[in-house]
Amino acid sequence: MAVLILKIYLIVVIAILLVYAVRHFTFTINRISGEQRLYYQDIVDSDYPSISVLVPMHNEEKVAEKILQSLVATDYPPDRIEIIPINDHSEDSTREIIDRYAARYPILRPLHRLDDDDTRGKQAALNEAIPLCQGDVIIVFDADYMPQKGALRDLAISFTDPEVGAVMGRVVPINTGVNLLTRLLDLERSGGYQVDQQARHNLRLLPQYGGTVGGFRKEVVESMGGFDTRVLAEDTDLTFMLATRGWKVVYANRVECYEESPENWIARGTQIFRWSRGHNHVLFKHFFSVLRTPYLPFREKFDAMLLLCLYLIPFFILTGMIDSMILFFLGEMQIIDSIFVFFFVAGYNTFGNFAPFYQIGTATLLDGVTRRIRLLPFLLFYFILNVWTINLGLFAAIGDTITRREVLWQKTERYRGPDKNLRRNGDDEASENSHSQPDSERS
Amino acid sequence: VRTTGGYRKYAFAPYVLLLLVWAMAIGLLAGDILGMHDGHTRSGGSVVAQMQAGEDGVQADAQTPAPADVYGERKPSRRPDRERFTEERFTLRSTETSGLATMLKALIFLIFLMMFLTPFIPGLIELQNPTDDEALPVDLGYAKDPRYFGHSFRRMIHGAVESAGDVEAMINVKLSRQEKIEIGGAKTTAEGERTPHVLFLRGDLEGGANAVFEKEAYVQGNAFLQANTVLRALACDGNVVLGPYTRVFRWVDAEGNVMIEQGCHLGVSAASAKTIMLGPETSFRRLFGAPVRTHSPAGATAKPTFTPPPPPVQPTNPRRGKLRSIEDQVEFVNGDLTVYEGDVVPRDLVCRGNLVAKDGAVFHGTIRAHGSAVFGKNATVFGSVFAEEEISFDDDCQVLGNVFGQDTVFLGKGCRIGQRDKIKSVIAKKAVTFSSEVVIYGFVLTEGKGRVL
Repeated sequence: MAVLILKIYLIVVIAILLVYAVRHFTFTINRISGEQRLYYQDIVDSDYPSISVLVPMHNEEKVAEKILQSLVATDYPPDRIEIIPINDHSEDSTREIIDRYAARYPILRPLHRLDDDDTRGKQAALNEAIPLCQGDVIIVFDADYMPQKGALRDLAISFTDPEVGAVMGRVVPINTGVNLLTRLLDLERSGGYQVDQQARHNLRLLPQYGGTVGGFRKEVVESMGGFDTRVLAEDTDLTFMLATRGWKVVYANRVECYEESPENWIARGTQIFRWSRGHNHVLFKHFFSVLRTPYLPFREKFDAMLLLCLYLIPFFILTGMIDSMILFFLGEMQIIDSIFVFFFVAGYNTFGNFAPFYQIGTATLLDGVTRRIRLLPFLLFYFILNVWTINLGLFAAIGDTITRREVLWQKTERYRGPDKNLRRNGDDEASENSHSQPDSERS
Repeated sequence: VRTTGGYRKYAFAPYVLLLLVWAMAIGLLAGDILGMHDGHTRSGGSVVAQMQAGEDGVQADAQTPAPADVYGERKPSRRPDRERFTEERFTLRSTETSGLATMLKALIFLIFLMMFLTPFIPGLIELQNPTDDEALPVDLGYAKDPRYFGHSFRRMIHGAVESAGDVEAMINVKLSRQEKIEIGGAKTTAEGERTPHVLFLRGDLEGGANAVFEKEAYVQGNAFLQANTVLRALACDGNVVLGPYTRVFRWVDAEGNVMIEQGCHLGVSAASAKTIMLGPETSFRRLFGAPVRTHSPAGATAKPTFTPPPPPVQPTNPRRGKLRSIEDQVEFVNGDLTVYEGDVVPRDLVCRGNLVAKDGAVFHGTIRAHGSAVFGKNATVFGSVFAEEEISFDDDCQVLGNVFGQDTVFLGKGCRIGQRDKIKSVIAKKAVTFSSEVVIYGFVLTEGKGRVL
């Protein structure tokens, strides 16, 4: 009986991996040869929505100046924008940097969270800031990000469509060349955004709001009671809250923004652990509401469920591997045709990471940087990190859901000095060059 | 309970496990190769042992009597049989194992190792001598400019001719590549004359019929080009007239008015700080003007100046502040919708099907259709129109906002998009078609074909 259960479980795992294989392959084919939907970025409009730009900061002295400088240099109509840097109990010079900028630029309205009784973390900081916002649309950037001069326009314009509840831009790692890890993260990011998110936008599925380089309607989030401080993945939580209530999340591939990737494996593991814990918590929270919602047609609902269960895949892979080993040593492995075993192995090698190898290959092709795919086999090692940390995150999320305990946000470590990694990326030109090529010429 | 995660204390566990797995795998393989296996191994063990055990098992099966339960007798436990087979298998194998077999196993192991490691070699080289480790280029200064081509080219020319002074000459300068620039005052070209170099004219340019301008031209006066002119690109600080059937390969940009006569092809972009008037049968991809107009048929009476109606008042949402779903914020229709003549939709509309608006329908907000959006005559939209499929306006419709379609957009005779002193856009992925007397205050773009009927 036990052997039969193990066999059935292995077949189920293989079936799940096959479903994800088809999904990701569909996305890849779509990006190579499918219909590409337009994003709203080409709209030229003299009436932009009023926006509030929130930048949560906790001990961000290494990066604070850069993001504030980028934001005040924006071309957004000055009478339609306010920038609210949120100093969340910083113990370094973040506060001084913010205050210095606030004194120079009237569109900056800092929020200092200093009370010891405050709930800490990004969600709590956003919740405190949202009622203070005067804009109809809230745009969020993490402190280590560097938006383009026109990014705010390109993000905010999507909200002229009444169905759009949130928008997400593309994240591009800036410290790519530091070590093997940063190079692998660069590949993963490319596959995840250039192919996965854009294909979901093309296919009218559910792109994911990522919590930064993106925005949402203030009224909608306020009416939902703000962000749930018990959920570490407030971005995923918002994505599914919107989807189950009828709003759409759209993806803006053209809105590219530099971020800083973790430069050591522990920091990356901590980040993935947090993502897994948060995402799986969202899974437990929204599983039934996604199934029940009348606002998602079957196709979108199916993909939304796959997205929701994405962080369960490493669990299935790990348990599937254990299962297959047990069956192997029991001499019961010959339960299915060898082709299925092949799929299992292919799945094992492919889905341990956030973007399968063919998505990454396609993304590098689209980005015109194909030589870096020589590092693709090294993703095998990265896979081990993912499987392990995501499973730990899953168990933590189960604990969070059962005990309803409060969780604390763990900030990702920053590495950047004031000028590190910027010279080769045109950053110096940002302040003086106000015009660049239109979209159709960039390709 | 407050918890920050506790990831760190388990961080090294997967790598320890990985090392153990590798050590075990290598140990098993090495054991196989060196013939260190023993009879304790059962159906598990290394891959090589398993393969061989399988082969031997076939032979063993052939000599084994049929199971007892076939004859209706009590079925014996499988375990003794399995153990017996295993004993036989390994007895057979032990006797057959030879130096050749060991070498074969070693060879297989080496081939496996080589096949496993080979894909890493290019990566190792890349890590050692990086050739592609830069961050993806992101233009941090990027900001949208619908007149980018003209502005950029003017800047480039001003920079190039600055040193030449106020003279008329032919100079060699580096633009995007090495180019000859003719600097002059006014210029007139003869019929069919070819101009093979870049022009920078401080006066007017008058081109004869069938003239060919192989390179870009920057004219600080006005530009009048006769029929069948072929032009690469033109930046003009005055007014521009393009004669019938002029072909522009790249772009036209003017500070003054642009008059485009019948049958012109406008290349990638035509932009003006003032009015662009498009003749019939014009084709285009991108237009920017204040406004963009299409031709009036001969004898047509001028329409009265467009005055936008008063701003619509959207009714207060009874549940405002308690948005339970999108339906609390917009008119939501989960299917097709027909809005009949004279009907008024008082706020934003999301239609997850096809929308048909009959003559005279009024929409006080923005429209979002998942299918097509087809409007009858004299329909008015105070907001914008978004649709996944065809957007079509019959004659004399007005939209104060943008029109954005993932498929095609058709504007019938006398349609007006946007309003004076504002900029709005008409964008369609596959095609934009304008009838006569259309006015658009702002920007037009299509990735497909734009044309004027």
